[in-house]
Amino acid sequence: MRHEIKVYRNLMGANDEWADKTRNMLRERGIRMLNLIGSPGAGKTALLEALALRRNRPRFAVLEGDCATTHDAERLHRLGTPVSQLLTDGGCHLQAKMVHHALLDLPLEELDLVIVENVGNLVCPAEFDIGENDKVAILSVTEGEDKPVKYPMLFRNAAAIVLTKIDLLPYLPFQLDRCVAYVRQVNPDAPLFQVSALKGDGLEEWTGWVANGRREAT
Amino acid sequence: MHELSICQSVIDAAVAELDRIEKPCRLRKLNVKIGALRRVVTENVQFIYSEISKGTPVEGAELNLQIIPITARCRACGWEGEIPDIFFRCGSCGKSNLEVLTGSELYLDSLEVDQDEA
Repeated sequence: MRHEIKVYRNLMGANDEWADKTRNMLRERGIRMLNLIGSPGAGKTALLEALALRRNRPRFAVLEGDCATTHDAERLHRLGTPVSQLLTDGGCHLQAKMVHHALLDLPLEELDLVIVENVGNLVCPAEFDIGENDKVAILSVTEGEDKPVKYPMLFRNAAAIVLTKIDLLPYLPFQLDRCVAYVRQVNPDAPLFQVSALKGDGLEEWTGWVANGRREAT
Repeated sequence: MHELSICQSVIDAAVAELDRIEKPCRLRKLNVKIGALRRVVTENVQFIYSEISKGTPVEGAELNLQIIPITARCRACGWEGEIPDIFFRCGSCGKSNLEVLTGSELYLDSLEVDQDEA
């Protein structure tokens, strides 16, 4: 005889418990955590290098999520930023438990801010809460203007959106106005920063937002 | 491939629930509800499930995925209704200031088991 047994079991249960644990731990210590999410090669590490070079920077550390290699961690280490590498061994996103354990290895008493650079991917990292205060969506102009509506989960939940590599705009068919309209279609309120890490445009506004919390973009 | 993590969670959750059932039974079907915002590729989930369930207590049970549509309420005009996943616009006034009501779900809703009448 067939029976249906109702269970209503949250499938993100174990991950969410670790994420909450992390959020509570960081709140008690007065540390803010940002989760940077963007495609491979969108310029996430370059944005962190800009922060490491800012004069009035917060005391921050970076957790580098990558499938393989420690290249990104080495780039930040050279600038004197405390950095810890998380290798997912091919996995497409960071999970809350591994982030929690990596945080315990950082000098937390010396920090105001932790920035997690998630694995390059616009889909899966958006699904997994790792205990951050805010998600930041990173989009480079070489990726096409419609990405915000193709990956709405990320762009809708982002507290800030950074459009990178704007120095390339003269060479691309990328339509900036359309991209901004697509962003606003899924996220009417979040500050949108237009930066070039190579030339320096917009870096003051971006690093200022990171340093001071929620300051409005221009 | 967040589908792999989701499949593993489905199997872990189902195995834990089966452990709690005292009467001997055979698992026939797992009913999982997934919001459309999760952007899960159901074919991938089915394929991964069939592979990684091998050798577990859920092997052979059917995985039934029910996709829940995205519905929202407009903060500007109060409209409520279903929206397509790429257009976050009110179906009435066209503004994007929406509160999502459904579409983010991800849970094991129920298990269907065969039990002998004793």
